[in-house]
Amino acid sequence: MSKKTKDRSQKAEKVIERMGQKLNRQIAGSMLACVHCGMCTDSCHYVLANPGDPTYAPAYKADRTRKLFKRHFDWTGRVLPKWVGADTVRTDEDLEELKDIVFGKCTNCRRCSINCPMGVDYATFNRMARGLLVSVGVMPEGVAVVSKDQWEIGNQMGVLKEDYLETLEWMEEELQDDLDDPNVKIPVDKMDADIVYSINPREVKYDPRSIADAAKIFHVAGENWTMPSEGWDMTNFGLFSGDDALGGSVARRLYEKVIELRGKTLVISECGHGYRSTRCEGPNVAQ
Amino acid sequence: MHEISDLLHFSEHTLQEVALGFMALVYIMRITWFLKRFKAGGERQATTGRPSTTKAKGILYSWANVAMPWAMESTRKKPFFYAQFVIFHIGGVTAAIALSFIIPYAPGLLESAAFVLVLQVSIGLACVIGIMRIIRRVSNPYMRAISSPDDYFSLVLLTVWFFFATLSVPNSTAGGEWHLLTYFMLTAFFLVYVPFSKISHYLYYPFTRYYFGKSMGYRGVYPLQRGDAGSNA
Repeated sequence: MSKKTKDRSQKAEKVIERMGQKLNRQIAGSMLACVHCGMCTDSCHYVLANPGDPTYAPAYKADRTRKLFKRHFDWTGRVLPKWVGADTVRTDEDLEELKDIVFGKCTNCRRCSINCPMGVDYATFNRMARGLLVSVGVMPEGVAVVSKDQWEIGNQMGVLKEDYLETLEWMEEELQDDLDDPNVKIPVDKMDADIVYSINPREVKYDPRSIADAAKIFHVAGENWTMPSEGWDMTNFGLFSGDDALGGSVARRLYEKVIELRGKTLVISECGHGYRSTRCEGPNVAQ
Repeated sequence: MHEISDLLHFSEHTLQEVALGFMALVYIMRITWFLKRFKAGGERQATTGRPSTTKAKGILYSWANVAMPWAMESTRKKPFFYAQFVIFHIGGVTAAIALSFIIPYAPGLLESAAFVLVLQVSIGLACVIGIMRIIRRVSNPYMRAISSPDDYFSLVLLTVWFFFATLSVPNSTAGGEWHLLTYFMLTAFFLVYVPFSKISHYLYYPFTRYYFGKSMGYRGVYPLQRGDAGSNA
């Protein structure tokens, strides 16, 4: 357990307390094993894009979280904190600084880990740090807004159901004009379809032509397909923010709709992190 | 065989044995704490990537990574740096540790001039590399930014230790015992200090590489295959 200090803010205290619950062997090993050899430095695209600024070096960024581990969970940091670079967070400003590092200076791409002789898995504990900060409401404003929309409205752009359905109707009409065929449909909530097609809400909000383009492909290919009226957002900000509760909720919403429609295959539109969250991590966090 | 002082005999035997016992005790405590306090986490995702890769293959590849400089871009593009790593760890650390056992328990081995030369050259080279690493850590702003006092101290201490180990290899007291005494005193200090410093990284190495390799094998990434983007199916 962490040692409580009188001058620590409530949020900082919670971060330290929850860190103890989040630490697993993989993360603890990565906290303990770094020798500061600097082999990871050149592997980071942030370093390459910001020459001359050592605060982008993966080992430097990792140490912003590692110092908390050393100070509160490793005896070497408790006995000789300054000697091993152990430190704590005391104020909400400290958490804001940590937020800028874990959200703003790392994409969790794991390139540094692939190039680390010790196998330090920085991305994994960077994600943990994000989750800890999110748990006390410290996150970039953009992440906070879209996460709230995913929780409350069901999609990251806050698109209301009627707007979504109207957009699909509009694109259906566009497609009918384009193909000169009034029978072309964008089916919604069709049962027993071979393909259930989910999209990025950005498409509805900013450029719905991609929906019509996908519909054209499905039509020409003769697919038995549909789009769900709900649970259609295949993006997942829980993946970014480290908020597994949000990640699980969003993934479940998507999967349960496919099951409800008795769809055979879930197909998603183009989105790198959407693919990762839906195909890779979703089945785990949704449990 | 030559006569040595009681102090040097104490440094070569009793002091080393006590320090070694202390190090073993602290290591056992560290590993017990590490394994009991921190439970292994599960995989975060479903299997993806090439079906030919497995957790076991990933683990083996990860463990072998240290001997495959071509496997990582960071070593592939810096072969001279990798050579330094090999000399520093094998030629220096391993040889200097071995020397601390050879002198008190198998001094006959050092009667071979060729063996003495090999040890002196390898440990001496490690000492030179240590100096290069100190210069790098002090002069490179990226290295300075990530260095703690322990990083500097450990590196300086190792380099000084290599220096005295190089002098001690012939196990000769013809010019006095000071170099042997310093070497064995430093060795004992190391044995006590190492468990608390970053030098104990080798204790965690098998675990970090095991778990990283396991995840990467499970995800179809390890073993890396050049020229094959793999399949995400």
